[in-house]
Amino acid sequence: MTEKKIKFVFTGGGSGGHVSPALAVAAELKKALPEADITYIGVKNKAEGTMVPKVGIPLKFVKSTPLPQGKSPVSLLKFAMTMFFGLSKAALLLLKIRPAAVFATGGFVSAPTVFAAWMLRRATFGLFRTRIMIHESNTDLGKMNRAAAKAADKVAVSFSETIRHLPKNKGFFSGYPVRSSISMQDRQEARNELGIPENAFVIFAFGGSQGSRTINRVLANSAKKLLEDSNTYIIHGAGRPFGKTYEYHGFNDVSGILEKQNLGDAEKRYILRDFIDNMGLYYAASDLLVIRAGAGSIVEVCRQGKPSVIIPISNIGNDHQIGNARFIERAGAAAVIYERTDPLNGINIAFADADEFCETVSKLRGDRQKLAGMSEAAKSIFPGNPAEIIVKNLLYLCRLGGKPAEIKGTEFVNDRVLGLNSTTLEKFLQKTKSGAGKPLETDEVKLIKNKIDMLFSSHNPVIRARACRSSGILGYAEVIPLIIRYAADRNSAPFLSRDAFSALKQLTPLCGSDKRTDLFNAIVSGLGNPYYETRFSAERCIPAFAGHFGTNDAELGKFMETLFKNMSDRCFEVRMDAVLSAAQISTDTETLLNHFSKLYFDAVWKVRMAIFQAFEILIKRGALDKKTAAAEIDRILITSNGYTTEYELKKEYNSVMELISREKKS
Amino acid sequence: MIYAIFKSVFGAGGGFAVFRYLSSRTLIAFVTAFFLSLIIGRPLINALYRHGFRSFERSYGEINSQKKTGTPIMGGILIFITGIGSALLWCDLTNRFILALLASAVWFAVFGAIDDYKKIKGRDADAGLSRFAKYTVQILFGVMLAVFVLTPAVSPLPADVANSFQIPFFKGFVFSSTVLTFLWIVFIIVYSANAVNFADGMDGLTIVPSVFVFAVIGVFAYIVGNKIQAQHLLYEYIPKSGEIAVFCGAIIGAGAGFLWFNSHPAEVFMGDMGSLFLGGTMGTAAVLIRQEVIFIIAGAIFVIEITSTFVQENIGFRMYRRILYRAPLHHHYQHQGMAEAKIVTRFWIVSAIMAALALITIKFR
Repeated sequence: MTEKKIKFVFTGGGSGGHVSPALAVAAELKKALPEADITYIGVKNKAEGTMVPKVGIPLKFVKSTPLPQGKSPVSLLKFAMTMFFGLSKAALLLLKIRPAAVFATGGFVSAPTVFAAWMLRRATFGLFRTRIMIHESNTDLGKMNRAAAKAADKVAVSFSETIRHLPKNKGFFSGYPVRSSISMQDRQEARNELGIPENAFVIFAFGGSQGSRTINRVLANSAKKLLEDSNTYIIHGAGRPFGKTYEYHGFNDVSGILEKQNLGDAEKRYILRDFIDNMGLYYAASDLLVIRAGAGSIVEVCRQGKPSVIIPISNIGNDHQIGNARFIERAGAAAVIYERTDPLNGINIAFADADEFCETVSKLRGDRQKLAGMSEAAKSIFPGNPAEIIVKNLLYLCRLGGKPAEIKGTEFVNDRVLGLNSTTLEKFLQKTKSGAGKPLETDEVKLIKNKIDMLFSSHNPVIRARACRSSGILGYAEVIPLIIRYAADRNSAPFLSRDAFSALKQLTPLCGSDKRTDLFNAIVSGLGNPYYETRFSAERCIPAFAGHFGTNDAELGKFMETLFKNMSDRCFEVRMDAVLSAAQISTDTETLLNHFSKLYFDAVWKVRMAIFQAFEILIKRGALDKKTAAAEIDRILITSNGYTTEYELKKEYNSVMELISREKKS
Repeated sequence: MIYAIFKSVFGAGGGFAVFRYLSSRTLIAFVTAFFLSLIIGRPLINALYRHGFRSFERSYGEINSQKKTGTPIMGGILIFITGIGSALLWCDLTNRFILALLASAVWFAVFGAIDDYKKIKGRDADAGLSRFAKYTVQILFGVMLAVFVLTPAVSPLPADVANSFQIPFFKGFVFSSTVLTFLWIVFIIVYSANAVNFADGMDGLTIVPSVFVFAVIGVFAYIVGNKIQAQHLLYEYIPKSGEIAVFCGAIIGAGAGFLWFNSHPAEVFMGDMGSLFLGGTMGTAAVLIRQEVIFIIAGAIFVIEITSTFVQENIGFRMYRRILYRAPLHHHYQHQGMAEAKIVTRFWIVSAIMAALALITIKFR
């Protein structure tokens, strides 16, 4: 009689970072339960296609695609169609296999299988009894995993703080499962094999199986400088794409840059690879690692006890990589270099600064003691064996094992400046500016500026407009030339030019005198912009300009001329701000009153209110005598179709509440 | 219900004949709903407040004495109880038109109530049902109604009327098509539920135009359901559809009762429950007498509100600019400083004119 197989379905992928934990758990499961029969469900032309067959697990394919970024109906429909096919196929596979449990490592690849299992369970009222467990590798739940977590019975997390985002009793801490094949090798042996001298300083850089553009370029660009020290070796896994079509070919890119660098003799010490199979060997041989901050990489590297320079990916998936990187940095095991864009010079692809990188590496190279300390710190960050914990929990879930003990993971603080998008960033900055939050610290300002740069690099003008607003609130003086460019350009998207001016109003006091002409020209151009909100935003900049630089006769003349023209604009807000701005800078009250008088019966009472306010300004400035003002005001229509309601009961409510809260405090 | 009781007690043609006439029952349904509102309005509003169904600002903070914070919401339940209560009392509950209307009322009221409840629980105006869920629920009902209307076995409408388009100013059918009618019905339901929902934003702004629309639909239902009138005015006779007029009378009474409390300054808001319920039943009633175009004309305010929102959010945003100052249209005027009471009154005037225009089409054919 053959022994009865217990079937499991594993799924997850897209990138190596999702496949390798699944494989680690699969290996551990086979060890703990030899009769386990595992099938892997993945998507074609992704990492799982090459990695899974290698370990001898049968692989089936379903269709799936990531959530579309925009809200366009076409992409949503495409997504829905793909998901429909994926779900149907996954459901058929599950019905055929009838697994005891589905284990998913998240990402869009696992979505069809997880949801199909959940739906089958719901549709058959529990007759189909597959359990679902998912593993979240990052600190923050991805969009797909957030939905999948609802369907799952249990969610294993790599970082214990993630449990807080999950329903009660669903999450448990496991850590990030690492392939056991990467065992510690002897450093000496490894170096002999690679032909690297014993006392050399070896930098090992890799950005995942497909390679990372940022790491590749910063390394290639710093190669010459770093290799000036004849004792330094660089091992570089530049990566190559999986499919036939690709956006970026790491190996070719790096070779190209290196050729231009003309390394000469030092080229021997730059070991360039496209794909690295034998990670253990390279880990063992190296002294310093240059990595991305994917959960997989950092856990692997820390377990090897290696110090590292981390270059996290910015601006995707809630900044989780930056969060991961800062966590390792705080623990004292890594130095972090942030990637950024340089929209001011038109560089909109993220890069890491080569000079900064060289400096960081050189400093570490010269301080062996510090490296040793980092090494020690790295080893202690991730305790326990994650794969074992997950397998124990999985077996318990399937009633095949006893209840495993709960393990507490390392807690870490989340940065408040991380995970902000263009909208929440603006709100956050307003809040801190108004004094509601703790004031920003230097490194936080640096992160925010990086993020604003990223926003400025967006193709979407609305995102760039929000970047303008955030720059204005933060007082980000370095981007002023860029904002002036947006403001002055008549072809800018309307929202962008509008927000450029509202930022300039706040940033004008930070402008040096070299920007005076540019700013003046931008404002004049904005006053005649075809979009009404841009016109009045430009008008609001004039008092700031005059207050900061003062105005000469030519400037004043040009301003007044356009303001007078704008006083007969068809949009009431343009008329309003023209009146207010003119009152603040005008030197010729008589002409001003002449133009005002055309608005005394304006259909929109808010314009008439602006005239009253203008009179206040003029009287305070001493530009208008009270007698003339009184005569003029008498000519203004005072009837309006607007008023403010006041609920007397609510007023009283507030005064009582104030009394109560005051007594509470004292 | 009372209709059934009298019918069984006194038999057809017996005493209390007054209850057999559509016109008298419409009026009684109106009065019942209205007085029911006056009786249960105050305690119901207080109960809503006590149970935490209050409007809130987007951010936590003190009560602004100039704003409407704290006003009880989900007042749609008042319209629902009084309107549907009165309809249950005075309508012929065996009439399939009435059954369809009651189904739409319950369907949209329940789903509006869930939406409101989620918003209150989440303390966030964005915490309600997702856009996807909303459209799904609306389309689902539209499909069910279309199937109901277009399946001769269950449809209360004559088969040749059910799948034809009637357009004002033109006599008889313009053309017939089952497929197009099916899509048209789904569209009308989704449109009406959303349009009324968008118009809900100021005291009394939604309820009065809704009442006008129900009045127009009621008049049309009375005409097409009356063989002599229908023939005289050259409409296709739809047997038994006159009962819809009684239902409209009940909703109009409930609307008047709601306005009693909702008029500026409002003591209660209808919430999504109210607007979806009104919009859904309005669209259903129009579909049941196949006078959707009349419904669109009479509810021109709703067309304007939903169109202005669409223009601002879809067309404008794609051009990266504002086209109106604000959307929906009532906010466009509010942004220019116009007082709420004024905007609302002007919208009422426009909707009264449009309702009158819709009624004029009866003669101009």
